[in-house]
Amino acid sequence: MTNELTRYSAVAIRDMVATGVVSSAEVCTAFLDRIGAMDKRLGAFLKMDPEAALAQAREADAKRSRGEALGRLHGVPVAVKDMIVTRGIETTCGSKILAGFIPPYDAHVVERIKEEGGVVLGKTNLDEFAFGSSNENSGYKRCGNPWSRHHVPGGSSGGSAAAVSAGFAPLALGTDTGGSVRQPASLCGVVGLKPTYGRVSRYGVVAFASSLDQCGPMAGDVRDTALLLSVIAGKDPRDATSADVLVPDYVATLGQRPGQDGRWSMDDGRRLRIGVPKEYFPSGAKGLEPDVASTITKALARLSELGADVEETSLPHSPYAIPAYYVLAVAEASSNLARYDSLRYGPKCPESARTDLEQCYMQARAAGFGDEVKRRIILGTFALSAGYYDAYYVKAMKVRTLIRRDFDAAFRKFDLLAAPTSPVAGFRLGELVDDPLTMYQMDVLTVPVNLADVPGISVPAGFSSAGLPIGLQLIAPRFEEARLLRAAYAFEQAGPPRAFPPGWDEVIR
Amino acid sequence: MSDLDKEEVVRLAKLARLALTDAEVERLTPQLAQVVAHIDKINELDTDAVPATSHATGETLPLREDREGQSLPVQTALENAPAVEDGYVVVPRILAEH
Repeated sequence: MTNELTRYSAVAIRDMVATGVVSSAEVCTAFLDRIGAMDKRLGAFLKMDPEAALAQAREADAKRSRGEALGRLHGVPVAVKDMIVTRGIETTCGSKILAGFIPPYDAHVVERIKEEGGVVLGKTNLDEFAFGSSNENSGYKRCGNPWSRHHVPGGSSGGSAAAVSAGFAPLALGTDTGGSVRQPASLCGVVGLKPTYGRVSRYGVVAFASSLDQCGPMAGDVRDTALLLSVIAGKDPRDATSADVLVPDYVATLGQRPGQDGRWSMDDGRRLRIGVPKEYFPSGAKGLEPDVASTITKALARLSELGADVEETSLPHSPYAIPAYYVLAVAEASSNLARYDSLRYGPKCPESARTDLEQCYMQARAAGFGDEVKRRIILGTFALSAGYYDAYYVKAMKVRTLIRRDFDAAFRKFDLLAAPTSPVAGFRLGELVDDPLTMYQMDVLTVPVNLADVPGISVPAGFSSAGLPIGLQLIAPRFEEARLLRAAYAFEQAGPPRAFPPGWDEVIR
Repeated sequence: MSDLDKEEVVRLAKLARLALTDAEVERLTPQLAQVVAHIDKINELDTDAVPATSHATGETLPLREDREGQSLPVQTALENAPAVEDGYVVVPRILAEH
């Protein structure tokens, strides 16, 4: 019986707990049991603290018995990407260099979840320091895709995406710097949203690229995603880059404004205009997989049937997004990762190096970082070094301006943009591990959105002939997450009900 | 535009305080060179008249009142440091003896 609870949405769970149909402790136990029995097959979680989770759940039940007001996430378990600090729970960023690091504080987003009665279930697997698109760069263990034992879950928020997909958590937090929430959401058949830069506080979100990082919600459906965003969004004085912009009730606005003729339109009754950048679809850099192309064609037709005007548009500087990103993001990363020095946190440097500071740094970082981290640090150092700084870093910042202008121009004509999230439905474990440049190309459709600081969402749109999920990406102007979520919701509701991956349905006894 | 060879990789790694083994230099150099060749694409664009975007919001640094508030106690902040003494993080000697 208890395993059935893991099939419910976050909204349904919250309502059942609020009305006393089920207790928070029962809900928490159901998810913990499922993870305990099945995660050894998947590898979605790096760290669990079941006692702490149950204590939170019991406190939620006590709060209800005392007749206190209940929060928006009361009794709902949330999985947290291990790139986000959680007080008292080891946080490693998927790296050996932070083994044993126990943060003395919670990230803002974790505080918000707890304030609203949510239960932190555990820390999810990821590519080391969020560098990757497959979760294969995890310094600890691999994470699979619940839809196929041979394929990657995507990355870098692979663990969070896999956890939601496999029914291990109704909600999860990820981080997205170049696509790391949207791409794994697409590959795992769940919903993932990257907010506008500044929409969500980065306080306590370990820094990869400070001008690009955003923490984003992931869930099995759009309404749950909207709920989690409502909880985590908003100004935080501890993050100087967080925006002082009102947070609407993203859930309440979901079904609004069907328009005078019952069809889907804007405030003034005008039909929603959706632009499809031709550089993304049907071409998409090196070309899309045929199944992706046909799924997105059908998705765009669904948007038309809902009452949107869907038209081709252009983002002419798209071919320069990946090159610019792999200058800017790696440069910022090389600077942000300079703090890992074995002196303030993490394991001590090797014995042989302890008398010499420089050797201490060199040996500790050599031992603690994986290949992709080393590659990006070297690339970043290169882009920032004397003689190359103007040609690479400054140049890339100018290209970023051109990319932003492309989006600004498109949004003068269109209310939203639509595209595939990923050029492929999936790729096999091990296939791209030794081919970094091809791996980087997996982000070709998501990276420009980060560079332009606009919000984007991936919502399930169908499956490849091999049964791998394919997501539709929708993109909105800055701070128009409400519009984005309404469109995604209408799209989702007009399609088939949520599918669960086969083979993960056993009832736990 | 630039030649990312093994010597350069070793130099950059040292700048970033990363010790690389010979085998790593051997393996990573061609991968890095390939990425740099791809990145060079940005130089196809004429950006003379284009301002650089260093930051999304374009806001200047927000200020606050200079008033004392709560922060993490020193002991708590140093909980994860491997070697601590009298509220300081212990590090290997930096200055040479005379």
